Amino acid sequence: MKKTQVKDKRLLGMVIILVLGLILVSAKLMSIQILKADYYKEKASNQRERVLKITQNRGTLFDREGEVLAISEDVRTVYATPYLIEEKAKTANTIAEILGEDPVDVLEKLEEDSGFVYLARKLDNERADKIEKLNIEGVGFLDESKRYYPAGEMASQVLGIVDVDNQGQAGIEIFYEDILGGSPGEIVLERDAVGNPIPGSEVMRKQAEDGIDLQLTIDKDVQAHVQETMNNAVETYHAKAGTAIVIDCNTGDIIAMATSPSFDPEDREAISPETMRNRAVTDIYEPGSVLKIITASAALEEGVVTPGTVMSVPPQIQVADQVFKEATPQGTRQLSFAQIISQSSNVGTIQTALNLGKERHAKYLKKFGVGQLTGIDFPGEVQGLVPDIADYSGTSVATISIGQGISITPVQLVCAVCVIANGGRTVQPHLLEAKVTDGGIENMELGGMGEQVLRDETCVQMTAIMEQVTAPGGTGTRAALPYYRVAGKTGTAAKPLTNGAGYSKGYMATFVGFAPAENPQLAAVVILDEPSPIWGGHTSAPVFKEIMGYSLQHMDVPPSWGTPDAAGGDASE
Amino acid sequence: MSRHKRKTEFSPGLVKPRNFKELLGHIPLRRIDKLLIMAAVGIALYGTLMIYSATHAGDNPLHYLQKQLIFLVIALIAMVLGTTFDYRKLMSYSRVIYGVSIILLLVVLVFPAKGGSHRWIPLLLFDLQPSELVKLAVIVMLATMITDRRSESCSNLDFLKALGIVLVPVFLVFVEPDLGTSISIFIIFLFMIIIGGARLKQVSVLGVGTIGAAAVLIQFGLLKTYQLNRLMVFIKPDLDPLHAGYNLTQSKIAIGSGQLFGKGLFQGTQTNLKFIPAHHTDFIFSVVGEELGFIGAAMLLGLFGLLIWRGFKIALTAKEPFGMMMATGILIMLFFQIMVNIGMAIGIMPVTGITLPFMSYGGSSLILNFFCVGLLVNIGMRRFPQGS
Repeated sequence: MKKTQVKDKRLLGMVIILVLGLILVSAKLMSIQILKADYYKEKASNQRERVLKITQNRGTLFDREGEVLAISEDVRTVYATPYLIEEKAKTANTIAEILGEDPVDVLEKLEEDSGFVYLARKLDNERADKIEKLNIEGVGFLDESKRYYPAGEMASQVLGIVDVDNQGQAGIEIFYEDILGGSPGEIVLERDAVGNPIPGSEVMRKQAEDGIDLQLTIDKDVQAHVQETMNNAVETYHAKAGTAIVIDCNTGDIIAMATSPSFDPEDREAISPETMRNRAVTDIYEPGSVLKIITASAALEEGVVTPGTVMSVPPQIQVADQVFKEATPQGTRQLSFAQIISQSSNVGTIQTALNLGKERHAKYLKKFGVGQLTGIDFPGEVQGLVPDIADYSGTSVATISIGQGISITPVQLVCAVCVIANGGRTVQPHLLEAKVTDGGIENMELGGMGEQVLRDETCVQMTAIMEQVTAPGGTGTRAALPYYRVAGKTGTAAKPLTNGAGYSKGYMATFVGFAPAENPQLAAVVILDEPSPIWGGHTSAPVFKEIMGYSLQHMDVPPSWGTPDAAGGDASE
Repeated sequence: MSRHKRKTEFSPGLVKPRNFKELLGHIPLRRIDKLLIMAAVGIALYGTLMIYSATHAGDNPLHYLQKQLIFLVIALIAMVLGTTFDYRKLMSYSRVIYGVSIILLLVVLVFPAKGGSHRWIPLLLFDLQPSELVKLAVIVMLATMITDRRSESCSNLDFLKALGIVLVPVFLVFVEPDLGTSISIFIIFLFMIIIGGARLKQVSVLGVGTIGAAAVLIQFGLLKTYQLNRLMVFIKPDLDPLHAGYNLTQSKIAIGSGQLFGKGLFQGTQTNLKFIPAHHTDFIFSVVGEELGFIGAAMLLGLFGLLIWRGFKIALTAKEPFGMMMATGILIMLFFQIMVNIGMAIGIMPVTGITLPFMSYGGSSLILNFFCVGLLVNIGMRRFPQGS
């Protein structure tokens, strides 16, 4: 009986072991299924699910007239699963014939020890369809999208490029990626442990959303002409590069924005980062004499001078420790203020700036937007380098008044000129005009005029002075158009050395202006990097004439005199 | 007459029924442990459903379901058979049962190997797995020995005899090779001998000897590489997740991804997509865990708990040693398999290829397990002298 009790005790001991075992199992089960459940769930999904992307269509870029600047078209990529292909040699021959490739190369791909090889990426539909009709086991197709730029290189820096996945990489393409890009759809496929997709398991997780079409302010024809003209000018004047902007001075619409040399946006591999820069927005330079128009505007606006004020202009002037001379040696002259500007007298401008004082001068630089971001809808805009008034040296006001020791962007410069052209108000430069959707065209209203910074009277006076620049005896006579009155200003500035210590031997030649002077519509700037000859009046001015003449005619701007037809004929001479 | 007399002495209160009706007349229905039967049948039906869920995606969706249902019918008949005779009769046949099962273990080695081991003897309806049968044979043999022992205490000679009886099948199953079943036979022996009154000294010596033997086995490379790998991987599953650790990792992923409520019946992705091998046999618990979640798994554990609880009630209330030892042996056998199999699926036991009783697909184990349930019921309903 006693022994039986021992057995019962041992039996109970075993029950305890078993209960503990059950508790252990339950606890572990809870840990896996409740505490760490999400971890395992994710692991399971990762193992099982395969996400297929459905390519969306990227938005088209139109110019202001509705002409296509960039468009995405459906193309197809042809691939092969080599081990599925029988009669490799015969297949290689057939496909090579359609692709126009060497059968040996194709055969080599088909003989690869791999489950997937590209036979042709982004092939046009016609040839892809031909291959599909052959119905070859082991050859498959993927729908893809390819970006075409029908106008080629003519607006390459502005439009930018997309990468192989159709994502914007530069220019408008990247700036408006959110609108243009759309979002790809996703299909989730389940696969088994071996990796085979399970039929019927496809779930559309997300519909592909196409990108939205955009209309730009660019005019394709003007842009093409400007680009071509700039390319020619860079060649003619042996310049390193050139930049030009044509802008509607009343709305800030960028009609054309070209940088030479340009590139082929469809040939990504050949593009260098150097040529990809849209210098009009992303590069700064010392403008030189063209900045005198801001100094002059400020002096007139503040009543320091009138256009008729006659000043005695000596051959040179000492400001603090520096002596400033004219660009070409002159004796002491009696010049009206208008002549000082139209003949681009450094000494006369500095005298005026000194009378104006650094505070008032700096105030107008700011009002004109010099050294500030214009807010143009383009990636990578820089604001330039304008010294703070507190950091001015004794000579700063003198140097800055003639456009030295200050760096601005071409788009800042042309916008400053727009102020004079449109009667004294700032403009907002922009490239996007409207969104084009199924519902119609939605104008984005990005442009328009801003603050009044000059009185209308000042603008009229400045316009008259700037017209003198293109008149006989001015520095920019080569910019004069036969049938339009052109107001402008030349500039020739030594390029500062990159280390900031002094100037190099290279010059930047600028012409900036607007037309027609009596009712300004368009403003433009032409900048050539190290042209030969160096003078803005000799190089940039005739380029400006060509560009402005074509633009005015193309935009149907009535001529100042004569007939439009005659104006057109002469402008494109 | 003397034979009959001896029997009555041996089995007090027993009247031999002439037929089933008479049996029921002598044994009140209330003595049949209905909860125990319900638990076992419940688990088996649950298992059949899960097997169908795990295999319905194949070319012949009903194949496994049909076969398992046939096995279940045979198993239920086996259970009823297990109740119809006085279990104490088994004592007289213990040597015969043991001997036959040992012979079958030798015979099985002649048949061609499946999946690298000689475990099955092909029969008409199903493949007989002698290693399943031998577990019951060992239980009957040990229970008989412990009951027949002259003295209440366990002599060293008794102990060695018992050890010898067990080591023969342990060795034969080991060479099949079927390490898992081999170990489970040894565990059954260990628990039965301890509860059967073995002295602590004897058990300690056995423990030291076992560890020594295991060391020798490993040292001389007698364990197959995959067996060693499985043990190594159990200790560190990330060691080689795509090979030896694959089953473990995949099973955990399947169960874990089932979360609280599961993915729904037939909705299991990991198990149905062949990420888990042997999902209808060894890893059936993973299917439960994935498709029915923690709730489903806990329900199953509850059913097993019920089964074990009823079984122990029978063992504790058995009024004579043979019944108690039989019940204990059967419970140890079932429980060890449950723990090792579920433990393997959730990563707390090494992968050994032990199936989940009543749940896993397979005829031999289902039939044997239900026969054992029948024996438990048998022991339970004969615990009181007739008529008292």
